[in-house]
Amino acid sequence: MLKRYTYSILALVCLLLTGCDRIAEDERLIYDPIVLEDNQNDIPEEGKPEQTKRVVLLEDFTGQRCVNCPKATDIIEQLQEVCGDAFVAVGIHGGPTAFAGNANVVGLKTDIGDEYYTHWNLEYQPVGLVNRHAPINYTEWIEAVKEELVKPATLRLKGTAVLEDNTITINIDAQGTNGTVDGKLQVWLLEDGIKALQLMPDNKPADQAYIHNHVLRTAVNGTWGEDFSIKEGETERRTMALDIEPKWNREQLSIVAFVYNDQGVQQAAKTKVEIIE
Amino acid sequence: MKKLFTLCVGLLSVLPFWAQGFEFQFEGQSLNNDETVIIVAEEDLFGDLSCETNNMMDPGNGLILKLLRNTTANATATLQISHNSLNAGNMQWCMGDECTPMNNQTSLTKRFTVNGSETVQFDATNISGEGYLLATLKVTIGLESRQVNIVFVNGDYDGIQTLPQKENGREAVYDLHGRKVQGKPSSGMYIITDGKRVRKVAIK
Repeated sequence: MLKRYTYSILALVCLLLTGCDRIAEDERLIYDPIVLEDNQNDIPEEGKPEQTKRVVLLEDFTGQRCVNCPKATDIIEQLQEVCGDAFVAVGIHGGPTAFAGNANVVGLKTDIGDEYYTHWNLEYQPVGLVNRHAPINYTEWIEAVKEELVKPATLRLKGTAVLEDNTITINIDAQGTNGTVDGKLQVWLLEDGIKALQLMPDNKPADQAYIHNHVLRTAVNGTWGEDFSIKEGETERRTMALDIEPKWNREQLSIVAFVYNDQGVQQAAKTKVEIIE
Repeated sequence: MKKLFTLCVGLLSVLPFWAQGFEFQFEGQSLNNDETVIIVAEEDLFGDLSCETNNMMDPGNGLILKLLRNTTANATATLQISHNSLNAGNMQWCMGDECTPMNNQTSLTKRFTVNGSETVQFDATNISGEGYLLATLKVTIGLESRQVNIVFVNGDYDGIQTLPQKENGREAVYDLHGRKVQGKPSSGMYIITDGKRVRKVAIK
């Protein structure tokens, strides 16, 4: 009897001694934006360009008729709060739950949204692509974004967008920072703050004044972008123009640019459209 | 005597496991197993002609799955569409935190956890054809299975086998659960069929 107690106490002591190992900060699974910012100033290897942080792109396939899509938006807002400008979300209204609109009700569905939905063989909503990897449920987005954030960036992207009269002039500046990148450069126009009907989850009534943010309005340089290649140390500027539609709110427009290839999205950038009166 | 007493105690102890563990409800009323819910196409908030098991402005007051004994349970639900001539632009089935398009499939199974109750959100929207849809939703929790038949109707429903037909050349009146109303109906919403068409009528 005494022997049995002795073994139990020994086991408990071992558990106490080993159960509270201190985990080094760099091994913790907590995203720390400050660490990420610091990485920008890492001293580059000799002869290599200054390194840059990786910006992660989330394509959120959503719809006004999708009752669970506002839950996915909540996740996006959490990610935006934690990751700041290292995270770019785009709401793509396409697929069966997207609504095209009519004379009385604003609709956010686009033809390219439908094309993307079909192309990626999506089967339900809400669903998202994190850096254009396999489609995943919104409940897995945080983990997937974390995994992408720690990967090294291969290029730096920066965009400027100026709206004068009814035309936006867009400049995308790229710099290769690590090896050669071949792929496509895609530029999209987004709009924030659109008030439109949305079905709601958890038995809440439909919200007729729901605010839709980061809504994909159109692709600036074609549905699948344009060919793009950059070597380490090289810089390149691409310039393009887009005429805006009257229904878009010019105060709420922004541009998202990203470079992608078969390995997924390599880098992304978002910039607000500046208005020149 | 002692053996008989033990047997009785044993039987009483397993009785709760035989009791009904969940049910379907429609507009707050319990449905019997295999009962039918008839939903007539109406213009929805988007301005489209739609049939939906839960109204957009009052979700949770339409068709729901409700646990009767436990607060949480793992469920397997299968939606089977056996006929569809509605020509709906979109159909979706939302249960278990996921909305799945049903345009291109006639049968789908989902597994999810029910916390207290689960709204059955099955919608056919942007309907452009006169016709009907017949679907059966079967849910299994543990050893217990229950099902509800869902009928979406727009205009002509001639040929629906599960819907009661006109009787003796007269219009037949059914409640929203698909139960035939005998005698004069009290105030409320009813389905009236004449053998060829179906319409939803408010009786005051």
